Amino acid sequence: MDTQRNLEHALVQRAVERDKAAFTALYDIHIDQVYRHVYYRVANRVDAEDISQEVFIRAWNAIGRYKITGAPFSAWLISIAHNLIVDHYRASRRLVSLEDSEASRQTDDETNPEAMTEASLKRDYVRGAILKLKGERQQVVLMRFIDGLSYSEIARALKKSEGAVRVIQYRALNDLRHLLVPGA
Amino acid sequence: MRKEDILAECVDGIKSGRCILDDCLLRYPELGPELVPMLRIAASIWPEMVAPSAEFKQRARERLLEAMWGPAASPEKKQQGVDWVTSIFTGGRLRFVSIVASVLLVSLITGSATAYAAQQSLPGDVLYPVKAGLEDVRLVLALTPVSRATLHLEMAQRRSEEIAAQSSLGRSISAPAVEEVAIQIDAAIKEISRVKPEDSKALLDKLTESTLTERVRLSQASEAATEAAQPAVKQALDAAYRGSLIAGLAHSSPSVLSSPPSVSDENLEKSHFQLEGTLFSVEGGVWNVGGLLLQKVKSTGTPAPGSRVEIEGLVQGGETTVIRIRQEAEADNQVRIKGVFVGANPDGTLWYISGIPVGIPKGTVPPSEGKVMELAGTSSNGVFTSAGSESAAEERVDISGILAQVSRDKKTVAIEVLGARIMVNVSQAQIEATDGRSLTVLDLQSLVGSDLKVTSAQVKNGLLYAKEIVVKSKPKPGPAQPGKDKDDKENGKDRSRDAEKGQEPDKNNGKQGNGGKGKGTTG
Repeated sequence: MDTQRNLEHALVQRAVERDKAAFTALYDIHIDQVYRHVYYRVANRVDAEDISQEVFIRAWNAIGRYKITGAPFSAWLISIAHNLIVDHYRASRRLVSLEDSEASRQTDDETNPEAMTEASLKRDYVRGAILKLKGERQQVVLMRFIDGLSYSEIARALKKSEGAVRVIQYRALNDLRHLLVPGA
Repeated sequence: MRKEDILAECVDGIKSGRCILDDCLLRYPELGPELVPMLRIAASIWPEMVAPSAEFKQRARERLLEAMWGPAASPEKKQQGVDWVTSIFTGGRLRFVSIVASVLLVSLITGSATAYAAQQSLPGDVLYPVKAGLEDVRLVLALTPVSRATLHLEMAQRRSEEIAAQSSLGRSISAPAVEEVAIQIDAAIKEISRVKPEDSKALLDKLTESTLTERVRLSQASEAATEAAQPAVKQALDAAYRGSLIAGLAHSSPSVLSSPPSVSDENLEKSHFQLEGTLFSVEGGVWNVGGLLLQKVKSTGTPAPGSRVEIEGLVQGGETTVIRIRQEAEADNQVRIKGVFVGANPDGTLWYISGIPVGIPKGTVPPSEGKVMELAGTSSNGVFTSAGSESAAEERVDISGILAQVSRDKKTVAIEVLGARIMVNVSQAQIEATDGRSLTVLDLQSLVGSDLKVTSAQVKNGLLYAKEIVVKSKPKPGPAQPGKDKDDKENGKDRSRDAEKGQEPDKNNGKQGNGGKGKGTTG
């Protein structure tokens, strides 16, 4: 029923057989989404461009091993992006500086409890907290809210049930509550 | 219901604009203290309203092509190389002439910087006639229907790539360039009809693949296209869509190629349907799927009665040709049909959707003729019961809120409704102020923080597309206040610093927006 899904499925099948035209079409479809995801995590245009470009080259090199499981193709691209972002931070040690800057901002805001509720909703502040979430909790929040995947798509990508994804989402938002509203 | 599921339900409702925080609290008051902060946090998580620049996308695309083909040769050279070899080995009696001519051609293509540069040109460029000329030469040298069909498909792909490139560059798209897509696909179909049946299958696969790629590429181009370019892109998209329908039709029913259909035939869409349901029976060429009858069915395979099927097909002249069929092991009684409404019987109890008769409760208002619609229902004992024309009408909503942000590409705005942000595409919207003045999207940038009402927004693929927007201008600034100039200067400095980093300035830091305090409604 879903034409777009069928189109993509056909393209992925061809791309797995190393069809270059199909993979180029997949690039056209997903480059914006991959870039948005990477940009959200690195908050820098130049790094976002470098990493997004590399995602597709890595994906092409690994496409022969891609297994069609029903999970969206974008979830696979985003998992490649995730690894590249981790490498990027490791290499540049920016993770430490980002955490430092988030921590310092949090301290500033804590001195003004009245402004804290508003401040806690600020985009950058929330982003900093999301990047502090661990493992699957961060993955689920990013997939759901930043990449716009449905619960069933996340479930397939993480090989979990939809119920389990909702539980992880609940725990992640609860963690964010504690990170953003200390004492909550 | 578990609290995790309640949270998920509320998050989804707020994010999609279907409900507001208060609705959730009314529904689950006992969970209020726990849910409210989590829902407020969830409502504040949005992707950055950024998009990669067209220059970057082109650069990354070229880098990817280089990685795929290897740095030694451009994709065009590789592709041409393959076709050159193909033409030599399919040349038959004129093989020797073909070899000589091909050698000359290849030396022309790969040896001349001008010819190479021409491959990258677009309609209207100085070198474009060189590109067109080279294609004509290749066509002359293609000696068999197979090689000619392949070449026409490649040329159709190139024309759609050119349309996409022109659209992304904001250039106007000429009518002949659009017509070329249809002409090349039709020419390919004509050549396929001349091929022996055993050879046509591979070419039909190529036609499917090629038109699929064109549809994806042109769909992307359509999103980026200016209003003036939209009809041209749509026309090319329609041609590619019909090309894929013809490929499916010819696969299941090769005899249609005896009088090759054309991608200019608008009736193809009207006969196209998708149907999901349980296959109850197959008798004398009549299939009962979820209580709906498909007549004189032509299909390459017949699933076992009792199984649930998803069928895509065409109804022409009372015959149903199955293009694709997918079988699922588990049957249930849900039925869904998508197609074009082509008419109803006099009392309106029988609708014809892409030629398939569907029983409808008396009094149901039919959609306008030619409209793509989706009907859901259930089946019991081989009889279909409609649950109504759930998507016969386009879903439209009105939204009131605070204008929170305008995206960099000036196509999307964020509207804050009770703390939640809703993204609305405004590229096709008519915008005006409450005093009737006409506004542009550029004007909206200076109106961030103003009250705004979006009427008749269409829901499409999970996004909202505004048709009309009315903005209530902010009150004019009062007398200068001490320290205000300084603040403005500092804000300006922050904005330029953000721009350098490629970020949108955080409007919440300024005085324009009212954060999550603004009141708004959805409906």
